[in-house]
Order: sequence, then structure tokens, then C-alpha cells
Amino acid sequence: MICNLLDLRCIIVNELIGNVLLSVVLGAVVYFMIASRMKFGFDTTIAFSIPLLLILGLAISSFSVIYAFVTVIVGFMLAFLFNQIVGNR
Amino acid sequence: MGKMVTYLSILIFIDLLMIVTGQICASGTCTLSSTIIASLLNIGEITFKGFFTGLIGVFSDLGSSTTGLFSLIGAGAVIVTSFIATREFRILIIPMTATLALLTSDFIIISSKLISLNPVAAIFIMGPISIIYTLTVMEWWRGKD
Repeated sequence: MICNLLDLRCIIVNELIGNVLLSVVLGAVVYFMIASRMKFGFDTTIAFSIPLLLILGLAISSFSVIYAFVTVIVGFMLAFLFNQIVGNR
Repeated sequence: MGKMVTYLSILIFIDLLMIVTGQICASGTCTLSSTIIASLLNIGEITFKGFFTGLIGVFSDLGSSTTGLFSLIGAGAVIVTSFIATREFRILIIPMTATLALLTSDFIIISSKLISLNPVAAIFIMGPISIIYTLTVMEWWRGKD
């Protein structure tokens, strides 16, 4: 597939990396590498990662994919909170 | 009990979020657990839902129901007789174990939804959960959870 000039999504996903998931994982790795070099702390790194990775995911994937996977991740987080509140350990 | 409760929390919250955002159960095709939760979300119509009519029968016509009520009575008689014969408590919770095992189908329907969007990420996230859940149900029934 030949990509248009400045079509970053096509260039990154189809020509450079070849897979959407791998592109997101690689983007996250690059982000955390840069964050560790800049030394702005764990909390700030995590707080900045949420919008950054969301926008990165939306840029190289589609809304429906992000919507479904974020729903699952939020489900995990709510279950974790629920277990912390009423867990029986 | 710890692992089972964690798995059920995860399933219920993913289910609820998927339903309220309209990603599953939008066209009226639900699995068992989704039907229960969809019934709870729309409590006024609970007696018309598939789970209720499958388990109990048609509410206004219970006397002639040949599937729901009578199969429930039959299964109950078998379980009570087995319990009297063996005095094993675990016999009594076989229906609950079977119901919990059926909830695997809910993990499967969420997996299939995610697989249709991105197969690799979906299998990495949902594959281990779906498989280990069935083993957790078994452990829970044996009392080892």
C-alpha cells in the first residue's frame, strides 16, 4: 500500500511498523523512555500518559477500537476499586 | 472465595459498562449473565426476558409450562436425593456452580466483540481470563479457592 505524503497514520502503521497494536505499544515504550529521561516523577508520568496514549491510540487506530478496549480497562479498574472496598481478604 | 469474587467483579463491571455504552446486547442478543444484568437494568420487563422464561416458564401460564418449572422441579429432586444419599454439601451447590460456569459465555461474547476490533490485543487480554475463570469455578466448587 502506497501512503500519501504526511499521512502519518498510514506511514507509521503500514510502512514503518506494520501493526496497529505494535504501533501503540511502541509509542507507549517511547513515551515512557522520554518520561524517564525527563525525570518528572511517577505520578506525573502516569497522569500525562492517559491523554497522550489516548490521543496516540485514536490517531493510529479508530474510535470504536479505543472505546471497546478502554471500556474493558475501566471495568478492571472498577472491579479493583470494588474489591478494595468490599473485598473479603 | 477470593479469586471467584474478583473474577465476578471484573465480569459484572465489564458487562455493565459494555451494556450501558451499547456495545453488547444492543440488538437484543444476550448471553446468560448479560440477560440477567439487562433485566436488572430494565426491571419492569424482567418477567418477559429470556432468562426468566427459560428458568421459570411463561409467567401467566406456569401450569402448562413443560420446560421451565418442571425441569427445575426435576433437577431439584435429583439434587436433594443425591444430597440425602451422600451427605455431601457440595452436591447442593452444583446448580450454582453450573450457573457460574455458564458465565464463561459472557467472557466469550466480550472476547468476540474485542476480537472483531483487534484480534491480537483481545486474545492477549481476554484469552487467559476466560480460560483461568473455568478452572477457578472448579476450584471454587472443590472449596480450594
